[in-house]
Amino acid sequence: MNKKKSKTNKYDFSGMSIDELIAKPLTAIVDAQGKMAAEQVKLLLQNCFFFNGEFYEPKVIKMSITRAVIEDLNSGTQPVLEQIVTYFDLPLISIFPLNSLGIDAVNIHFELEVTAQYQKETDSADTNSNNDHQGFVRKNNSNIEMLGKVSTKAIINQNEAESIATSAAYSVDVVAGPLPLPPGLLSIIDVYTKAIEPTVMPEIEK
Amino acid sequence: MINEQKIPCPICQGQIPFDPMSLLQGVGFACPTCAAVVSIAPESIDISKSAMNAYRELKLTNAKK
Ligand SMILES: [Zn+2]
Repeated sequence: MNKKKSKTNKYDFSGMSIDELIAKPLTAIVDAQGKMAAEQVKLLLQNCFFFNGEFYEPKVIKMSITRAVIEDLNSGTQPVLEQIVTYFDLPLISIFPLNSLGIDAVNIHFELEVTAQYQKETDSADTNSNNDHQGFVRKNNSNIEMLGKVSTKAIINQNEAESIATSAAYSVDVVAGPLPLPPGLLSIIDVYTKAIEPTVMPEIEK
Repeated sequence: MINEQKIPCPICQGQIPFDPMSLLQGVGFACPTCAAVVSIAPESIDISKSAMNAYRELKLTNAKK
């Protein structure tokens, strides 16, 4: 069964570009966020809108607003506190906690061990075949290329005490915060709000 | 609070903070400026409840991923 038994599980991995090391978890999160956004749009269309065969119409819910009004202040009698209930319509989408469907915050913490640092000598991309690690291509637009890897304390304690002495360790916190609602949606909500805003009726003359 | 939502107050144009889940359960939210209380009308509870349930389900599915 174990035909493919490997010579060794240990391979010489000197590290990857630090830019990539930091960006990889973030791009994975962006991908996940994109998938969630697609599901979110589906959810909104199915639940906050009716499809009338031609276009989507927003579902509107009825809200009530209650306030106390003091009546008969000038009549000399005891003022009466009256509860006045006003009804108004609100598009369902405006009370949906949309932005909480995505990723609120991501905190990726890892110790980064810088395994190599190279100064760029020429403008052209070339492969450094002289170093002990696998060859890698230098980037045109940066002067210094750093290689790093995620370090674990276990490794540091056991085998790599010596190599650590010749490398630098950084602590990296990658934080991605929540995004506010998209401006387009905010404008739609704003337009609806203005459209359903109650207007004050002129006083009826007695 | 990340999930805090606000409705514009139809009386004073201020902002009324509310929690959608509680709003659906009939809880009223008061405007901090004019003290008017906003709540959902009973006839609209069903329509918003089903939407919120779908939302909750999606949130749970996302959390499992
Ligand atoms: Zn108000």
